Amino acid sequence: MKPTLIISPYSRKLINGKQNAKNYPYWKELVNILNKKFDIIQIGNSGEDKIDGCADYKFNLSFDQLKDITLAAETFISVDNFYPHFCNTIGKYGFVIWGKSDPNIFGYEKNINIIKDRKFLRPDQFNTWEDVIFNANVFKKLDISDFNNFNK
Amino acid sequence: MKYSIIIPTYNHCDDLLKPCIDSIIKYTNLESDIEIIISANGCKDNTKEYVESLGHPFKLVWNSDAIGFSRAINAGIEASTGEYVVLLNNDIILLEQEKNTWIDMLVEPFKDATVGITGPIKGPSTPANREFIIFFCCMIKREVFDKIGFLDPIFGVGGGEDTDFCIRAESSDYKTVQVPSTGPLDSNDVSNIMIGGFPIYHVGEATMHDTNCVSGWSAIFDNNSRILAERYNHQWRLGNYCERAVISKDDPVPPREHTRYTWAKENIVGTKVLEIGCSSGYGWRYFKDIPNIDYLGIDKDEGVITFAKENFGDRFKIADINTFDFEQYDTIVAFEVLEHLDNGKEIAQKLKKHCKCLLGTVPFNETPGMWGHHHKLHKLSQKDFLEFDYKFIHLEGGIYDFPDHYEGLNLILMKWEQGKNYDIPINKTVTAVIPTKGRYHTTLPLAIMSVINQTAHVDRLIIIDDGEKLDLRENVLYTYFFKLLDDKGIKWEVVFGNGKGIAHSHQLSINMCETEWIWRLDDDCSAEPNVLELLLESVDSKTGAVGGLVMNPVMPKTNDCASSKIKDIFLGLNEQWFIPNDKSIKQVDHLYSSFIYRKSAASHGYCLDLSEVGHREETIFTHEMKRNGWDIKINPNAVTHHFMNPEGGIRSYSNGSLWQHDENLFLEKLKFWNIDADKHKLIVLDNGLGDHFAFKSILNEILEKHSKIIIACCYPDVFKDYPDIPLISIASVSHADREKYNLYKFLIDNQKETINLVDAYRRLYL
Repeated sequence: MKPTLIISPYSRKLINGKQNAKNYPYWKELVNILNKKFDIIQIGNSGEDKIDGCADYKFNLSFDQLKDITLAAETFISVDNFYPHFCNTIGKYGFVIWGKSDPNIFGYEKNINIIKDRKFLRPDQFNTWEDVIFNANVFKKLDISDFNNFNK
Repeated sequence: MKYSIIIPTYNHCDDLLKPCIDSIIKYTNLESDIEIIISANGCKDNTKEYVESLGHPFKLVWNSDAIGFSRAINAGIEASTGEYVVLLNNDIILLEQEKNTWIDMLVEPFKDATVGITGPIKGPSTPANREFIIFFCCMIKREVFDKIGFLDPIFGVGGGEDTDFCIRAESSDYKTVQVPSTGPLDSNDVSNIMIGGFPIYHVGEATMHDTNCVSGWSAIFDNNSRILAERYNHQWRLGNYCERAVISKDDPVPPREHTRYTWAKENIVGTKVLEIGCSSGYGWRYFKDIPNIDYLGIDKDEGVITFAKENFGDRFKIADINTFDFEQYDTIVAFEVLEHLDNGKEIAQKLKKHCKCLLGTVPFNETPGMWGHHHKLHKLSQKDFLEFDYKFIHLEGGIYDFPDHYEGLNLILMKWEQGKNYDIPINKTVTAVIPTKGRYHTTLPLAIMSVINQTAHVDRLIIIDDGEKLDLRENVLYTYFFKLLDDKGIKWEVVFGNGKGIAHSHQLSINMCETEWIWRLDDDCSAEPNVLELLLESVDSKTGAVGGLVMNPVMPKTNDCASSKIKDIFLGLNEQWFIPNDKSIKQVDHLYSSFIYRKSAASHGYCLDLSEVGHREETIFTHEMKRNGWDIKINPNAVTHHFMNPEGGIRSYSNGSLWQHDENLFLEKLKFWNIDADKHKLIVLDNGLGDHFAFKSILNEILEKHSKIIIACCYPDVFKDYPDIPLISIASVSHADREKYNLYKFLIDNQKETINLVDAYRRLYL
């Protein structure tokens, strides 16, 4: 039986319907790499796209349910959304994929904060995301070597 | 030696001492076992030569200084050896008699071994309120001195030492006996010669009235009288100049006092009894026979409580009724105490919450000043004490249904019993009061119009103008208002305030108002037409004030955390601001903004120590009313709209120190009220779900610093594992607080440095 990996692939939907610029564009490829080693559970809200290759999809969980499966999992991979904050409150640490937002501000040192280059950080970190244009190039395309430190 | 005669003298050898000695020689058997000691002090005349010339049995005790009566007597006593000591003043002359008659008369009562002092006059001492043997002529058994000492030199020149000595002797169980016992001597106004059964003539205070010897005798006498009163006269010492009966375990009880305690004993319910204003505790003389009685008497006066304990045991306590921690009692007795309290009427109602039976008396219709400055309430009648049964105690002590005297000489006898229905009609006349400043042409018209449109009748409208103070009769809009008020039969008046703000304005309205109820309305409020009707329907005889909802149209309508408990005052969520699920009338601790209140429940007045801002004036006013025993209520069906007009208003002072002054004063009030109000730290999470969790990661650190917090948030589920933390909607938070605690505003304001989200929260709240 493979260990469990939780992925939280999306940041919240924007009111204007645009793609949230915090969303990582290469989840499908990443899941295909990692599902050989992990049973991957995608969490999120109903209506969000399911990433092919996951072992399970757990949407609309209560915070208690989310806590239970998070603590039971080996680790997690998330974009910059509520989930790393949630995990921090229950003492769970994993991998966070950053694009234009600054992990020094919004992240936790105990996580592996994956950032392509700080030059892609948006200059105004505290504005809303409604009008921030999605750009896949700001994200690092990950491979298995980025996850060598799974035991962290 | 059997007899020692001691004669103190101070000059006056020829005119007083010689005639005195001559009479002694003439009417006393000097061959018997006797010595005569002349205790001369301060004499500048021929006294020394004269006494030394007398020979046996005369002796001279000489003191060159004028040492006063007591010390001169004491010097004589020290030099004496007789079994019986006779004290004689030098201004006496023994009258014609068989030799030694006077000595034999004085010594005769000593056949009774309990007799300690004899003398021809036993008379009353007003300051000591006791009888005593006057020492112009007396005989004292030697053992009395051995037991209680000599005369007290505190009396100096003289006067009062004999009273003091006799009382001390009687306290040591010696009798003081007048001889002859048939009656006191009398004074013949013509001859000023003492006549009667004892053969002696006494000039009386001859030396004291000689200003060459004694100056200021009157003042000396007064001072010595005061010493006696302080020592022996509990009524004089503790009685507030006869205003209060201070009765010991042995004193007779005056008729009215006897009547009320006899009545109380017959009417006491149960066994646990609290007596307020117990004075010297003589009520215990009546209550002690009640089986299993558990009695506590309290009085503010330490002196009477000490006296009460000495006379009636350790069942009394010093206590101020306004701070006393009341338990529950079967019966509370409060005889002639309520009139001593500014809030006596309110206290009477408050006491009912602590007992099954309340018994009391107050003077009926007392004219101010009649019983001195100790009485704070005057002209009291039954209407001042609702829900009691009443009788009257007349001056002679009888109990009747009606008074027989209308100026303070009757007592109203009041009895209240728990559960008994006292059907008292409620006066519902109303004066509406609108304090205003700078809102003539914005929201004040709305407030006035809402008064005019009430379905219940408003007797009078008082507009208290603390602002521009213009003549509104010259303003077209207001001429229409005034015409409408006239048409509706509402008397109206515009009064100019004193510029000291809202508390002073409301106090002014209390003083002006002649109706039983006062409806206060802010000048940016508009009451629904049925508000007054609903509020008046909510009152009963115990109601001090009733408010309705006071809704701000732009604020949220509901909030489950709203509270009008005084301990939740800092929560900042008054129940009057939100529509409750349960719309029944409920009791609260205080009211806000607009409400009606009973004038007779407002004798405590508004807090005039507040600044012009009057911050928390209504909270203090209504909560003190509640503390005085009145019910404070909210009827949520009565809705007044509060526009929170940012322009004008009687509180429109921008000086923050005024608000802080008032807040500090309020904190002092809370301390005085012994209320540990919950000081909640407000947390404002006006942001995303992740931000909520970022905050949650330091929640325990925050709880270590702020034991009581309240969280205004967008995602309350995040904190459901902290059930004790009150959560409120972010919409309930004021704009100022939302800005003050906005996390992203804080980050933007500090973006020159990179601050982690969690650290930003720490900086905001820790």
